Amino acid sequence: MSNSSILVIGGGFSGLTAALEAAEVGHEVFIVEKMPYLGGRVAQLKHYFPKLCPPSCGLEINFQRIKNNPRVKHFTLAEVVSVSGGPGNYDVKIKISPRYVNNNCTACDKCVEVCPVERDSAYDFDLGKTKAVYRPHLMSFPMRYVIDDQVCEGSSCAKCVEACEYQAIDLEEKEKEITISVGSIVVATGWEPYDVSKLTNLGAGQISNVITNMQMERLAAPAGPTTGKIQRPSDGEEPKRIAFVQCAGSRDQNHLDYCSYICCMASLKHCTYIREQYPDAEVVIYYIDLRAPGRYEKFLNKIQQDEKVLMVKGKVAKIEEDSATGDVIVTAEDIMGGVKKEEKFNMVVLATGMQPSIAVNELALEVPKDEEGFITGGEDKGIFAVGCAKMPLDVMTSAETATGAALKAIQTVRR
Amino acid sequence: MSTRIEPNVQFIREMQAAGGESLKKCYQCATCSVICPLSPEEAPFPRKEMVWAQWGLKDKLVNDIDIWLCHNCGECSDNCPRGAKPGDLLAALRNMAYKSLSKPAIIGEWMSSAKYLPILFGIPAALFLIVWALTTGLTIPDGEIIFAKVYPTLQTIDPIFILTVLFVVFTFATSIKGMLSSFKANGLEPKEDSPSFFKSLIDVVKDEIISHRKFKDCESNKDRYPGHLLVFYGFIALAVVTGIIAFFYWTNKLFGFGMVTPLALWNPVKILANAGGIALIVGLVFMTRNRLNADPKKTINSFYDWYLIGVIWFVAVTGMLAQIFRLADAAAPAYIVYYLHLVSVFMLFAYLPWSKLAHLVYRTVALAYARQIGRKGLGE
Amino acid sequence: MADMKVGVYICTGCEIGENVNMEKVTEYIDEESSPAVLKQVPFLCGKEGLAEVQKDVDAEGVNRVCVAACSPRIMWDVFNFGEDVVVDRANIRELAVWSYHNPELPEPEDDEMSDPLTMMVRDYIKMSIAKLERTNKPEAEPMDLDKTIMVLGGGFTGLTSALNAAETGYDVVLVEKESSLGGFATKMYKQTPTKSPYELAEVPTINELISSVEGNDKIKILTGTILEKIKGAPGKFRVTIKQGEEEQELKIGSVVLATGWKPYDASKLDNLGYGKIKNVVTNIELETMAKDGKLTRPSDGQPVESAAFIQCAGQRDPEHLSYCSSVCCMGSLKQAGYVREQNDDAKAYIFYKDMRTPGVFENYYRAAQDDPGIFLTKSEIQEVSEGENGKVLVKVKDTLLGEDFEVEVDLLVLATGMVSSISDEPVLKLGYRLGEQIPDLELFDGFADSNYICFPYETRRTGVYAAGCVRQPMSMGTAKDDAAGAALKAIQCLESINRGVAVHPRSGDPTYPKFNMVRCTQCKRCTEECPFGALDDDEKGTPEPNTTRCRRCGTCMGACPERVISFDTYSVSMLNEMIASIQVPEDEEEGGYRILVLACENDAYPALDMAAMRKKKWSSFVRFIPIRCLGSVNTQWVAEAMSKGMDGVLLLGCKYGDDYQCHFVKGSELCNKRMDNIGETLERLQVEAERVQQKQIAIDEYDKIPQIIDDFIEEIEGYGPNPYKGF
Repeated sequence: MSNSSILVIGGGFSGLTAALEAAEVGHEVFIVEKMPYLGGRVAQLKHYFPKLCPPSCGLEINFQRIKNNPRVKHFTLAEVVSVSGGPGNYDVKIKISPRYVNNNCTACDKCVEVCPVERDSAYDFDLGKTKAVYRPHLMSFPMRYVIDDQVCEGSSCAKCVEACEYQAIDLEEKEKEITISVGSIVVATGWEPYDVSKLTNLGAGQISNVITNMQMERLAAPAGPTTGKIQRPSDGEEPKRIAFVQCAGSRDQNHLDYCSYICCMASLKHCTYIREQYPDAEVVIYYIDLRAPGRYEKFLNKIQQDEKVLMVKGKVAKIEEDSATGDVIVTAEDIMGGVKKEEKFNMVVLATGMQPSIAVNELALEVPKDEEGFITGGEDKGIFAVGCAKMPLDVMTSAETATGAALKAIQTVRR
Repeated sequence: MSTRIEPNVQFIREMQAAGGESLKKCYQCATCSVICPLSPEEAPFPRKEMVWAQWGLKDKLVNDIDIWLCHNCGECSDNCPRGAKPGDLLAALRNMAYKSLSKPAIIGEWMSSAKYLPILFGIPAALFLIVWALTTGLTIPDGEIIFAKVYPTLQTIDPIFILTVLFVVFTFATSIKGMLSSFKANGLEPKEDSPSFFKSLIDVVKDEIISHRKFKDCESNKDRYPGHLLVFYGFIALAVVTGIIAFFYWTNKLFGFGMVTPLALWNPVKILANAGGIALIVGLVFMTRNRLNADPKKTINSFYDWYLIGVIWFVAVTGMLAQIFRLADAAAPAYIVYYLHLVSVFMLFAYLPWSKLAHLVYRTVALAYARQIGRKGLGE
Repeated sequence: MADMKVGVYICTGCEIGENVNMEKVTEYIDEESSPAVLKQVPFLCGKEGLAEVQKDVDAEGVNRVCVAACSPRIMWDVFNFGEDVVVDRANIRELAVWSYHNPELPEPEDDEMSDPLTMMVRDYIKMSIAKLERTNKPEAEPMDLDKTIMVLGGGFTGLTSALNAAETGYDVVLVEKESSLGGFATKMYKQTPTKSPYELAEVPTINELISSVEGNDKIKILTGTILEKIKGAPGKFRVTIKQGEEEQELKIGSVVLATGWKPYDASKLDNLGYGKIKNVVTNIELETMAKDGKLTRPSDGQPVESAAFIQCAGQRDPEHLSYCSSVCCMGSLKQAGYVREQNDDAKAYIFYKDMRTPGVFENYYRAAQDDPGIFLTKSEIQEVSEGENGKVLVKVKDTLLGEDFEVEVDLLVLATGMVSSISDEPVLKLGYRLGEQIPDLELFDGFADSNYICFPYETRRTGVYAAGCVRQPMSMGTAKDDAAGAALKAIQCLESINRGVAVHPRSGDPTYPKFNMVRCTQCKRCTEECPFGALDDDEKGTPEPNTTRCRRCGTCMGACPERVISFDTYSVSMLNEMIASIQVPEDEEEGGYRILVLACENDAYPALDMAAMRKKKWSSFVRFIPIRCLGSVNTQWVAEAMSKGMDGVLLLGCKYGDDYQCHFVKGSELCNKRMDNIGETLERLQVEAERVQQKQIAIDEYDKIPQIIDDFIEEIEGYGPNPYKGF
């Protein structure tokens, strides 16, 4: 008899979807998430394209669905250590890293007020700072604070322990290991933004006013480091000319040898962020092909209506800093015009691509992968890859694959 | 009335065979045009060459001056996201230009593939064997080793090589004329205030060739600079030596003074000769290592590349060995190696207009013309 | 309910205790609501606090617990005291203490008054008690359930969906109007890659799929079958089908709509030569030609030595299809391969606007273009004309070659796009009061798509889930996952009905609208306004509820002028009582104004929470009540508030319009319409219509909340106090 529970590795949008869809059919589901919160990448976005609605809206519904469904169990700061057994009967060992903040946390923020240590916020892609004890983010689920043990001074400081009226902080918390039994596994490990330091001809992450598309999301997000104001990292100036560099690392055999699917639409969306704040800012999008498939085409049309948004066919292959002004000099060939030009911008956004997370952080699960790290099989073993663990996808298509995989996982455990 | 386009698929296959194997992989992002430090602002290369090549537009490509502006540093190929190797395509186009510009075309055909190597080798091998048969009846002469015993300068070397040089010069003269008129046909004309061609040529030699400046602009393949520089100056040294020797040969002959070969090892001319030979060999080591270490994802080596490197090795090694055997008083090896040396020198010079070495003429002319019409890299 | 026993527990942690006059609170609550238990607990969500409540539940029989503490979105899993205990959360931390901004009012003389914060806390607790007193323990509606899933459409998606449902253990009826299964996939010579490494076109796998479906005894295949009518509701659909002349009725639980696509009408593309020049064909026609092994010129049957493909023919074009069909770039690369494979000297040109091979399909582009006989360029088509000997001339401009040019080809292929099969015919034929078709298809260009990025299977007809190209233009690889996804949703719908709970977005909710028909005046508002078409009606106009079509938004409840409709945990009278629980100061100069804010619980309410967490402050004159959806707002609540002397009512709900964010599609929009009527009524009563306003707010607009509220207060202050105050 199969174990009817399902493990979902990764609590981003795909993982949440797979878990909830299976749970709402009636199966017990375990979500294992390595971050201290559920929601994954979409929790860092300001808006979804093409609707320009906030991802937190859908996350809120999904969190309500978790709250109302006792069949969904989730572990944060958790990673799969090993998997043994076979389809229908897997034993999964899970390592849970210490959060140092227990269930007593009421999210009152008193600990943050006293914490003396600051750290770069990885959630904000280092554009902002948090204390060593911090709320993962405003919509964090679970809404519990967490301590970064890389920077926390520990018991020698312990100011937070003192400040917390609810004994919620335990600096001595240790890593735990648990084992669960499941019948099938959904892999929803998602993606990482491609490491820009490898893009040597595009500034290699060393030019302060060259940011990535994900940094743009944080800059524009209302709860971001600038409370939503798009400004140059170097001096906080309002950018008047902004360039978008498409395929920064994608469609490139020297980096990511596939199209990352979302970057064209993401940059078009970023145009709306810019336009909302700066009615006169000029934008140039340098592209190879504008990929707005399906009904996304209409969103492309909408942005094309904007006279101050120029789309230039030609990839940017050189970016340099004008150290006097902090401006950025971009070189590209305007192919349709047949001219190679250097242009100066106040700020440049690299439309960096997505790399499967497991290409960066290995997954303790044997499953066939392609050279790039996308999962290409596993179905015969009751293992189903979804979302960007399988291929580069947008949120909507990720949710489709996750829903489909939930059914496949159910079929496995019902056999 | 639009231009009717009919892709020449045969031409595409030729380009692929001549080294542009991956040209079809290009998806027209123009990374190459941007990354190239030599590519001009207006109609930059090699992105447009890539699409012309993909479409088999022979007319556009054979008249294209830009293939000569490329110094084959490989930066474009290294950065090409698709592995389309634009650098290789331009090299292939140059290889094909040697073939089509220099007449008779049959030699170009022989130069295009390893399978014709026996012909290329056979012609001088037979020629110098006949000479040897005529002089000493294919025997090794006795006594002090003097190569002139087998190949007397006046009767054999000079006529053969003077004829060869005349032939090469004539070939270049006609092909350069054709090349320049093809540039003009492509709409590239000097403006009224343009400098003269001759001045541009001098400037190119002074500014670019002597210093190898454009090789230094290249980020990706820094090793090419010393290799090419050493081979270049090695050849210059050997050319100077050859000139001096020839000069004194005739002064000796006509006026009874000068140097007589073989020269003593301490003779400054001999020192220059040996220094040139060593430079050549060291440069060749650089170049060969470079070629062998090339990442097949970024560039592939064509027959043209290997022919030239091979022949230069052939020249250098036989030249050096002939001298060593002579000094070691090993007569048979010395004469045989000298014979091979003559074959190699013939292979280098007689086929020059069709080999990759022809770039020394075509590129120089094209660079001079480009300078005259003001076509230069962005930022130059 | 005689045995109702209310316990009120006020947490004094998280700055509540030190800022609120607890004595005044407890005194007031005790006097006004007399709960059975009323306690202050220092750390209510802690072990001891919870034990305190549990003790009262066990010992005193407390079965209605008011937790006056933080937002219900925090500590959501700890206040659980057994199945029989109903808990309500009075959010006095975020909505009162944390967001409190002292209005600097004079010390009240009136004994019944207190400082504004304390008054606010009292109101929230009293409202919570009122709510608890009107909350019934929900009971699910008993239901006979048919668990058979009907898949409409026997193409690739339908077959895949049917097989998936069957393999999960459900009976399936597969309805196909053609006489054979397989749809367009059977007409394909090759299919674009569906498997890693996505480099080569594949031999179509449709026949294997058809065999699997035919060999599955849980699937009943009905080919040559026309759908006549779908009546009833999820879990108990009665579906009439017609095979030939014979009609049959099927008992169906839920439906997967997989009727696919049809090609765009190429006769509209005469500007590209179609219909005028013989050797101009569509990509669909070319596929058939290749399948039949007859890749020849239609004009004379001569072999095709050159072909040109025009991408986006009649697509990405406001005159034709404004969207992109997603698959044509891949399709033309594939078909260029057909032309090339039959003749090594053949040439294939592809004229594109943008090469759209997103994601891993870039691999296919890379592999396919690496062919000396395929020529690609970005371009705009200038003219298509007939040449000599049946040739077609294609003139293009704005090309990558740096010049405008023309080519002469044997065959011109137009890469035409996909049109949803339901865009202009009511394929579903729902026997619903609100029509046969899924509404608002024009928003999605005729596709049965969801308007929610996060929830791709949401249609406005519960129990009907679309998959494949009827939902979006998509490739077979995508359709394969999509088919499984829709099958899951169809199964999930059945299982939810089986448990007596709602489906998305209130999934798991056991409550449902109950109708007290005695008071119904047959005004039909509920029937017409339901965004999901849940209600039918009889000849007299009496609504016929279909619980399983319902999503529990309460729009019907909001629409009803007669309080006919209510939920066990949510009703017009409940909210009326809550509103009545708000203490309205008789003198606004002493106690300030009072504004009722009805906030959508899905978006506006979380935004309020987050604003408070971001330490935003706003007027202490507002009282928030979370509601299921603005669609459920009944005008009586507004009337109640105004008649109680409140000075204004603010409705905070989701954005509406084409990109609506309302989880119930139309709720906030319908509410806005009702507000117009309310405005007229108010004006008749000589009260400014602007005292009642609706504001659209997204969940991430938390930083705008203080401004919205304070602006509204300022506007109200401009009008002065409600003239009916004190009556």
